[in-house]
Amino acid sequence: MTAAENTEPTIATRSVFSGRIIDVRVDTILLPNGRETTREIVDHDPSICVVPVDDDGNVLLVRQYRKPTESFLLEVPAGGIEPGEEPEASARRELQEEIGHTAQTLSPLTAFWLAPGWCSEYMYAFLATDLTPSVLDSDEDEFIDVVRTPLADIPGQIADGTIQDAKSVASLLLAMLVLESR
Amino acid sequence: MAPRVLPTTAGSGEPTIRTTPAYQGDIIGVRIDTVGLPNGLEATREIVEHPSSVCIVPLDGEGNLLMVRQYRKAAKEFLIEVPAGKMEGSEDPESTTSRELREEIGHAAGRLRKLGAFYSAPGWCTQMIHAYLATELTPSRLDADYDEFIEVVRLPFEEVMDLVTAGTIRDAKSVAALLLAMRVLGDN
Repeated sequence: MTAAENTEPTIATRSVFSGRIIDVRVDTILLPNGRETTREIVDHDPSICVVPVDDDGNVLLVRQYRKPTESFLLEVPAGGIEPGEEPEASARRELQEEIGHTAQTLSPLTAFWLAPGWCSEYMYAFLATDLTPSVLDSDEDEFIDVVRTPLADIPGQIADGTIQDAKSVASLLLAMLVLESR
Repeated sequence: MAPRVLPTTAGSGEPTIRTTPAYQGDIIGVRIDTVGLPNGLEATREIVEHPSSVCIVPLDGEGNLLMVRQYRKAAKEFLIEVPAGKMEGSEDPESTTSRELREEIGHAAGRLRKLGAFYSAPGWCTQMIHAYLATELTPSRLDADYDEFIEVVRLPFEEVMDLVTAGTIRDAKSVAALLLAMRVLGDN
Protein backbone atom coordinates (compact mmCIF):
# COMPACT_ATOMS: atom_id res chain seq x y z
CA MET A 1 0.00 0.00 0.00
CA THR A 2 1.43 3.40 -0.91
CA ALA A 3 1.14 6.28 1.49
CA ALA A 4 -1.32 7.95 -0.82
CA GLU A 5 -3.75 5.04 -0.65
CA ASN A 6 -3.93 4.79 3.12
CA THR A 7 -7.31 5.78 4.51
CA GLU A 8 -6.30 6.13 8.17
CA PRO A 9 -8.29 3.21 9.64
CA THR A 10 -9.82 3.97 13.03
CA ILE A 11 -8.39 1.97 15.93
CA ALA A 12 -10.41 3.71 18.62
CA THR A 13 -12.79 6.64 18.84
CA ARG A 14 -13.58 8.68 21.93
CA SER A 15 -16.34 11.27 22.28
CA VAL A 16 -15.04 14.33 24.15
CA PHE A 17 -17.84 16.86 23.63
CA SER A 18 -21.47 16.68 22.60
CA GLY A 19 -23.30 19.95 22.03
CA ARG A 20 -26.24 21.49 20.22
CA ILE A 21 -24.51 22.20 16.89
CA ILE A 22 -21.19 20.38 17.18
CA ASP A 23 -19.76 17.16 18.60
CA VAL A 24 -16.06 16.51 19.08
CA ARG A 25 -14.32 13.13 18.98
CA VAL A 26 -10.72 12.00 19.12
CA ASP A 27 -9.98 9.17 16.70
CA THR A 28 -6.87 7.04 17.11
CA ILE A 29 -5.80 6.00 13.62
CA LEU A 30 -3.17 3.88 11.92
CA LEU A 31 -0.63 5.68 9.71
CA PRO A 32 0.92 4.23 6.52
CA ASN A 33 4.22 3.76 8.37
CA GLY A 34 2.52 1.52 10.97
CA ARG A 35 2.55 4.14 13.73
CA GLU A 36 -0.53 5.45 15.47
CA THR A 37 -1.66 9.01 15.93
CA THR A 38 -4.79 10.85 17.00
CA ARG A 39 -7.08 13.13 15.00
CA GLU A 40 -9.35 15.63 16.73
CA ILE A 41 -12.53 15.88 14.67
CA VAL A 42 -15.42 18.30 14.99
CA ASP A 43 -18.67 16.82 13.68
CA HIS A 44 -21.09 19.36 12.23
CA ASP A 45 -24.16 18.75 10.06
CA PRO A 46 -23.96 19.60 6.36
CA SER A 47 -25.00 23.13 5.44
CA ILE A 48 -25.80 25.48 2.59
CA CYS A 49 -24.89 28.99 1.53
CA VAL A 50 -26.60 31.15 -1.07
CA VAL A 51 -25.51 34.09 -3.24
CA PRO A 52 -28.76 36.02 -3.82
CA VAL A 53 -28.50 38.49 -6.70
CA ASP A 54 -31.34 40.91 -7.51
CA ASP A 55 -32.34 42.20 -10.96
CA ASP A 56 -30.19 45.33 -10.50
CA GLY A 57 -26.98 43.34 -9.95
CA ASN A 58 -26.92 43.74 -6.16
CA VAL A 59 -26.05 40.87 -3.88
CA LEU A 60 -28.05 40.61 -0.65
CA LEU A 61 -25.62 39.94 2.18
CA VAL A 62 -26.29 39.48 5.89
CA ARG A 63 -24.51 41.33 8.65
CA GLN A 64 -24.50 39.83 12.13
CA TYR A 65 -22.44 39.65 15.28
CA ARG A 66 -20.27 36.53 15.39
CA LYS A 67 -19.27 35.58 18.91
CA PRO A 68 -16.25 33.41 17.90
CA THR A 69 -14.65 36.34 16.05
CA GLU A 70 -16.04 39.03 18.44
CA SER A 71 -16.98 41.18 15.45
CA PHE A 72 -19.78 41.99 13.03
CA LEU A 73 -19.27 40.08 9.81
CA LEU A 74 -20.75 40.50 6.37
CA GLU A 75 -21.56 37.09 4.87
CA VAL A 76 -23.72 35.36 2.31
CA PRO A 77 -26.91 33.85 3.79
CA ALA A 78 -26.19 30.36 5.12
CA GLY A 79 -27.45 27.73 7.52
CA GLY A 80 -27.58 24.11 8.51
CA ILE A 81 -29.48 21.47 6.54
CA GLU A 82 -32.21 20.09 8.79
CA PRO A 83 -32.83 16.35 9.10
CA GLY A 84 -34.58 15.03 6.01
CA GLU A 85 -34.15 18.33 4.14
CA GLU A 86 -32.62 18.50 0.65
CA PRO A 87 -29.85 21.11 0.21
CA GLU A 88 -32.02 23.09 -2.23
CA ALA A 89 -34.98 23.20 0.18
CA SER A 90 -32.64 24.32 2.91
CA ALA A 91 -31.31 27.12 0.66
CA ARG A 92 -34.88 28.29 -0.06
CA ARG A 93 -35.78 28.28 3.64
CA GLU A 94 -32.69 30.27 4.64
CA LEU A 95 -33.38 32.84 1.91
CA GLN A 96 -36.82 33.46 3.38
CA GLU A 97 -35.58 33.49 6.98
CA GLU A 98 -32.45 35.56 6.55
CA ILE A 99 -33.19 38.00 3.71
CA GLY A 100 -36.97 37.69 3.33
CA HIS A 101 -36.99 36.60 -0.30
CA THR A 102 -37.72 33.60 -2.48
CA ALA A 103 -35.83 32.82 -5.68
CA GLN A 104 -37.45 31.80 -8.96
CA THR A 105 -34.08 30.43 -10.06
CA LEU A 106 -31.75 28.52 -7.76
CA SER A 107 -28.68 26.92 -9.37
CA PRO A 108 -25.92 24.93 -7.68
CA LEU A 109 -22.51 26.67 -7.78
CA THR A 110 -20.38 23.97 -6.16
CA ALA A 111 -19.93 22.25 -2.79
CA PHE A 112 -16.97 22.22 -0.45
CA TRP A 113 -15.62 21.08 2.91
CA LEU A 114 -15.28 24.06 5.25
CA ALA A 115 -12.23 22.83 7.20
CA PRO A 116 -11.49 19.27 6.07
CA GLY A 117 -8.36 18.90 8.18
CA TRP A 118 -10.44 18.64 11.33
CA CYS A 119 -14.15 19.21 10.64
CA SER A 120 -16.85 17.17 8.88
CA GLU A 121 -19.02 20.11 7.74
CA TYR A 122 -19.79 19.91 4.01
CA MET A 123 -21.47 22.94 2.45
CA TYR A 124 -23.52 23.27 -0.75
CA ALA A 125 -23.33 26.68 -2.46
CA PHE A 126 -26.13 28.08 -4.63
CA LEU A 127 -26.75 31.10 -6.84
CA ALA A 128 -30.24 32.59 -6.38
CA THR A 129 -31.77 34.96 -8.94
CA ASP A 130 -35.22 36.29 -9.88
CA LEU A 131 -35.88 37.23 -6.24
CA THR A 132 -39.30 38.17 -4.86
CA PRO A 133 -40.09 39.30 -1.29
CA SER A 134 -41.34 36.52 1.03
CA VAL A 135 -40.57 36.55 4.74
CA LEU A 136 -40.31 33.58 7.10
CA ASP A 137 -39.61 34.19 10.81
CA SER A 138 -35.96 33.67 11.60
CA ASP A 139 -34.39 31.82 14.51
CA GLU A 140 -35.09 33.62 17.78
CA ASP A 141 -31.44 34.09 18.68
CA GLU A 142 -30.35 35.48 15.30
CA PHE A 143 -30.20 39.25 14.80
CA ILE A 144 -29.46 39.96 11.19
CA ASP A 145 -29.28 43.05 8.96
CA VAL A 146 -29.65 42.67 5.20
CA VAL A 147 -27.09 44.67 3.23
CA ARG A 148 -27.44 45.23 -0.53
CA THR A 149 -24.06 45.50 -2.23
CA PRO A 150 -23.36 45.91 -5.97
CA LEU A 151 -21.76 42.69 -7.18
CA ALA A 152 -19.02 44.78 -8.82
CA ASP A 153 -17.97 46.05 -5.36
CA ILE A 154 -17.39 42.55 -3.97
CA PRO A 155 -13.71 42.13 -4.97
CA GLY A 156 -12.87 45.49 -3.37
CA GLN A 157 -14.74 44.52 -0.19
CA ILE A 158 -12.79 41.26 0.03
CA ALA A 159 -9.52 43.11 -0.52
CA ASP A 160 -10.24 45.73 2.19
CA GLY A 161 -11.46 43.19 4.75
CA THR A 162 -15.15 44.19 4.70
CA ILE A 163 -15.86 40.55 3.72
CA GLN A 164 -13.68 38.05 5.59
CA ASP A 165 -15.48 34.73 5.54
CA ALA A 166 -14.28 31.73 3.50
CA LYS A 167 -17.68 30.49 2.24
CA SER A 168 -18.61 34.05 1.21
CA VAL A 169 -15.33 34.70 -0.63
CA ALA A 170 -15.52 31.35 -2.41
CA SER A 171 -19.19 31.49 -3.40
CA LEU A 172 -19.28 35.19 -4.31
CA LEU A 173 -16.25 34.99 -6.63
CA LEU A 174 -17.64 31.83 -8.20
CA ALA A 175 -21.04 33.46 -8.70
CA MET A 176 -19.40 36.47 -10.38
CA LEU A 177 -17.56 34.18 -12.83
CA VAL A 178 -20.74 32.22 -13.56
CA LEU A 179 -22.80 35.38 -14.14
CA GLU A 180 -20.09 36.91 -16.37
CA SER A 181 -20.09 33.77 -18.55
CA ARG A 182 -23.89 33.77 -18.96
CA MET B 1 -9.16 51.37 3.40
CA ALA B 2 -11.17 50.84 6.60
CA PRO B 3 -14.27 48.64 6.41
CA ARG B 4 -17.45 50.67 5.91
CA VAL B 5 -19.55 51.28 8.99
CA LEU B 6 -22.97 49.80 8.31
CA PRO B 7 -26.28 50.77 9.88
CA THR B 8 -27.50 48.11 12.25
CA THR B 9 -30.47 46.74 14.14
CA ALA B 10 -28.24 44.03 15.54
CA GLY B 11 -27.13 46.07 18.56
CA SER B 12 -23.67 46.29 19.97
CA GLY B 13 -22.70 42.65 19.95
CA GLU B 14 -23.09 39.73 22.30
CA PRO B 15 -21.54 40.48 25.71
CA THR B 16 -20.38 37.38 27.58
CA ILE B 17 -22.34 36.65 30.73
CA ARG B 18 -20.31 33.54 31.53
CA THR B 19 -17.98 31.16 29.75
CA THR B 20 -17.54 27.43 30.40
CA PRO B 21 -14.58 25.46 29.08
CA ALA B 22 -15.88 22.18 27.64
CA TYR B 23 -12.82 20.52 26.06
CA GLN B 24 -9.12 21.19 25.61
CA GLY B 25 -7.24 19.08 23.08
CA ASP B 26 -3.94 19.17 21.20
CA ILE B 27 -5.16 21.54 18.50
CA ILE B 28 -8.68 22.65 19.35
CA GLY B 29 -10.52 23.78 22.44
CA VAL B 30 -14.27 24.09 22.96
CA ARG B 31 -16.05 26.56 25.22
CA ILE B 32 -19.69 27.48 25.76
CA ASP B 33 -20.40 31.18 26.14
CA THR B 34 -23.67 32.44 27.56
CA VAL B 35 -24.31 35.80 25.89
CA GLY B 36 -26.76 38.67 26.21
CA LEU B 37 -28.90 39.28 23.13
CA PRO B 38 -30.13 42.66 21.80
CA ASN B 39 -33.69 41.76 22.96
CA GLY B 40 -32.53 41.24 26.56
CA LEU B 41 -32.70 37.43 26.44
CA GLU B 42 -29.75 35.10 26.83
CA ALA B 43 -28.40 32.48 24.44
CA THR B 44 -25.52 30.03 24.45
CA ARG B 45 -22.83 29.87 21.76
CA GLU B 46 -20.68 26.76 21.22
CA ILE B 47 -17.26 27.96 20.16
CA VAL B 48 -14.33 25.97 18.79
CA GLU B 49 -10.99 27.65 19.39
CA HIS B 50 -8.53 26.84 16.62
CA PRO B 51 -5.17 28.53 15.92
CA SER B 52 -4.97 30.92 12.99
CA SER B 53 -3.55 29.41 9.84
CA VAL B 54 -2.23 30.15 6.37
CA CYS B 55 -2.95 28.75 2.94
CA ILE B 56 -0.88 29.24 -0.17
CA VAL B 57 -1.45 29.22 -3.92
CA PRO B 58 1.98 28.14 -5.29
CA LEU B 59 2.37 28.81 -9.00
CA ASP B 60 5.44 27.66 -10.95
CA GLY B 61 7.03 29.30 -14.00
CA GLU B 62 5.10 27.03 -16.39
CA GLY B 63 1.69 28.10 -15.09
CA ASN B 64 1.14 25.03 -12.92
CA LEU B 65 -0.32 25.00 -9.44
CA LEU B 66 1.41 22.82 -6.86
CA MET B 67 -1.44 21.32 -4.87
CA VAL B 68 -1.40 18.67 -2.14
CA ARG B 69 -3.42 15.48 -2.09
CA GLN B 70 -3.99 13.70 1.22
CA TYR B 71 -6.52 11.59 3.09
CA ARG B 72 -8.73 13.68 5.34
CA LYS B 73 -10.16 11.68 8.20
CA ALA B 74 -12.89 14.24 8.92
CA ALA B 75 -14.06 14.17 5.30
CA LYS B 76 -13.46 10.43 4.88
CA GLU B 77 -11.92 10.97 1.46
CA PHE B 78 -8.78 12.07 -0.35
CA LEU B 79 -8.81 15.78 -1.13
CA ILE B 80 -6.76 18.03 -3.37
CA GLU B 81 -6.09 21.29 -1.51
CA VAL B 82 -3.74 24.24 -1.57
CA PRO B 83 -0.84 23.83 0.90
CA ALA B 84 -1.86 25.08 4.34
CA GLY B 85 -1.02 24.88 8.00
CA LYS B 86 -1.33 26.37 11.44
CA MET B 87 0.76 29.24 12.72
CA GLU B 88 3.05 27.88 15.42
CA GLY B 89 4.63 29.60 18.43
CA SER B 90 5.65 33.15 17.58
CA GLU B 91 5.34 32.73 13.81
CA ASP B 92 3.77 35.47 11.72
CA PRO B 93 1.69 34.46 8.66
CA GLU B 94 4.58 34.92 6.22
CA SER B 95 7.00 32.71 8.17
CA THR B 96 4.34 30.00 8.46
CA THR B 97 3.81 30.29 4.72
CA SER B 98 7.52 29.82 4.03
CA ARG B 99 7.73 26.81 6.34
CA GLU B 100 4.61 25.09 5.00
CA LEU B 101 5.76 25.56 1.39
CA ARG B 102 9.03 23.78 2.18
CA GLU B 103 7.36 21.04 4.26
CA GLU B 104 4.39 20.29 2.03
CA ILE B 105 5.62 20.89 -1.53
CA GLY B 106 9.40 21.12 -1.06
CA HIS B 107 9.79 24.63 -2.45
CA ALA B 108 10.70 28.14 -1.37
CA ALA B 109 9.06 31.19 -2.93
CA GLY B 110 10.98 34.20 -4.27
CA ARG B 111 7.82 36.27 -4.13
CA LEU B 112 4.82 36.19 -1.76
CA ARG B 113 1.69 38.28 -2.30
CA LYS B 114 -1.16 38.52 0.22
CA LEU B 115 -4.45 37.45 -1.34
CA GLY B 116 -6.73 38.05 1.63
CA ALA B 117 -7.77 36.67 4.99
CA PHE B 118 -10.95 34.88 5.97
CA TYR B 119 -12.51 32.94 8.83
CA SER B 120 -13.09 29.25 8.04
CA ALA B 121 -16.43 28.94 9.91
CA PRO B 122 -17.16 32.17 11.81
CA GLY B 123 -20.53 30.99 13.14
CA TRP B 124 -18.86 28.66 15.61
CA CYS B 125 -15.05 28.72 15.15
CA THR B 126 -12.29 31.26 15.75
CA GLN B 127 -9.92 30.10 12.99
CA MET B 128 -8.67 32.82 10.63
CA ILE B 129 -6.82 31.79 7.45
CA HIS B 130 -4.35 34.13 5.74
CA ALA B 131 -4.05 33.43 2.02
CA TYR B 132 -0.95 34.05 -0.11
CA LEU B 133 0.13 33.72 -3.72
CA ALA B 134 3.64 32.22 -3.98
CA THR B 135 5.67 32.55 -7.19
CA GLU B 136 9.36 32.32 -8.28
CA LEU B 137 9.53 28.84 -6.73
CA THR B 138 12.82 27.02 -6.17
CA PRO B 139 13.31 23.54 -4.67
CA SER B 140 13.96 23.63 -0.91
CA ARG B 141 12.79 20.80 1.31
CA LEU B 142 12.04 20.72 5.02
CA ASP B 143 10.94 17.46 6.70
CA ALA B 144 7.18 17.28 6.99
CA ASP B 145 5.19 16.48 10.13
CA TYR B 146 5.58 12.78 11.00
CA ASP B 147 1.83 12.14 10.75
CA GLU B 148 1.27 13.85 7.39
CA PHE B 149 1.39 11.78 4.20
CA ILE B 150 1.12 14.14 1.30
CA GLU B 151 1.40 13.79 -2.45
CA VAL B 152 2.17 16.89 -4.56
CA VAL B 153 -0.12 17.29 -7.57
CA ARG B 154 0.60 19.72 -10.42
CA LEU B 155 -2.47 21.18 -12.11
CA PRO B 156 -2.66 23.83 -14.86
CA PHE B 157 -3.73 27.14 -13.35
CA GLU B 158 -5.84 27.92 -16.42
CA GLU B 159 -8.09 24.96 -15.50
CA VAL B 160 -8.92 26.24 -11.99
CA MET B 161 -12.47 27.27 -12.81
CA ASP B 162 -13.24 23.83 -14.31
CA LEU B 163 -11.59 22.03 -11.38
CA VAL B 164 -13.77 23.96 -8.94
CA THR B 165 -17.07 23.65 -10.79
CA ALA B 166 -16.44 19.93 -11.44
CA GLY B 167 -15.76 19.38 -7.73
CA THR B 168 -12.19 18.11 -8.23
CA ILE B 169 -11.24 20.88 -5.79
CA ARG B 170 -13.87 20.97 -3.04
CA ASP B 171 -12.28 22.66 -0.07
CA ALA B 172 -13.48 26.15 0.89
CA LYS B 173 -10.07 27.72 1.62
CA SER B 174 -8.69 26.33 -1.67
CA VAL B 175 -11.64 27.62 -3.72
CA ALA B 176 -11.47 31.04 -2.04
CA ALA B 177 -7.68 31.39 -2.41
CA LEU B 178 -7.58 30.10 -6.01
CA LEU B 179 -10.36 32.43 -7.19
CA LEU B 180 -8.62 35.36 -5.45
CA ALA B 181 -5.39 34.39 -7.24
CA MET B 182 -7.27 34.36 -10.56
CA ARG B 183 -8.34 37.95 -9.96
CA VAL B 184 -4.86 39.10 -8.90
CA LEU B 185 -3.18 37.47 -11.89
CA GLY B 186 -5.94 38.59 -14.26
CA ASP B 187 -5.44 42.21 -13.19
CA ASN B 188 -1.68 42.08 -13.87
